[in-house]
Amino acid sequence: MRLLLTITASVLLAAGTGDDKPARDGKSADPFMPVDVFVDSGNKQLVAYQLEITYDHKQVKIISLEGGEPEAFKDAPHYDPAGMTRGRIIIAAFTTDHAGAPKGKNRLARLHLTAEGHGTPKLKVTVVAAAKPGGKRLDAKAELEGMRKTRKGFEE
Amino acid sequence: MTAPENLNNGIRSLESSLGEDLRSELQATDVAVPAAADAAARAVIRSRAAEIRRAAGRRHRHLWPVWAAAAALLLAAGTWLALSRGKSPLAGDIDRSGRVDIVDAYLLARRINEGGKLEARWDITGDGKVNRGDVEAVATRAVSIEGR
Repeated sequence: MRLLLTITASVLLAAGTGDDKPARDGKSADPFMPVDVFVDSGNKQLVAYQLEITYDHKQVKIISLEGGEPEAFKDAPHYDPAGMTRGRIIIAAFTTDHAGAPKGKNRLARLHLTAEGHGTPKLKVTVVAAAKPGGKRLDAKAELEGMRKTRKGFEE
Repeated sequence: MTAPENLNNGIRSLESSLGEDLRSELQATDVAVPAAADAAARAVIRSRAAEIRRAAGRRHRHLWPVWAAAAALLLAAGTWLALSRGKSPLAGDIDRSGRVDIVDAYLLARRINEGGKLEARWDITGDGKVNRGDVEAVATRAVSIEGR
């Protein structure tokens, strides 16, 4: 039986942000911001993942995507370019290199954003599909991590 | 001696003990039934028969929803069977899960790499071959946000 997962892992990139208030102490926020995409497959090897990421398209635009740290997922994931500005993007990748398929929590991709305003934007990630060697579905969790840079350091 | 023989002997014994007049009255076959009584009996029989027919009709009328439901069920089952037999799987849905996702691309890539049997329906690009181009096509469909 196929197990279809849609685990929503929440994501608030930094606490108490998302408003349009100016940064404190005269700090001005950098509009460019990287966001790391992590997937945790527990003690099972991960050979394929598909995630849906939603965001406020009025505040955020995705400029580019890059791959992750494990060799098996070092290339940029598949995505629809239309998703870079419409508030929802689906990213996905797979590997047939079972020996190199990672276990546990790994950074599998990175998004580069521009964010308007001064708060750290909120994004949400949902696992659409994840599979272990052979193609059987597995339970996986995803999360996003990112910090917005200011001229005097990192915000939150 | 059997039970019917016992009974017949008993009846004969009872008859022989009756007087001659009474025996002749009991054996009389030509009994006159008054016409009015006959008509009344016929009327009762007709009336009762009509009641029985009406009751049977009512019972049948109460069953019509059951028959209608059974007919609808049969029709639905036949339609579903016909549609499911004629329905082609979603293009790119390699594992027939009902949707196209990255696991389909993985499964197709793996099958190609292993040199396994390839099905014609996996020719997503329509170029007459099943190859890496079809894997890319499946992955592209999986991440498309159009129509979702």
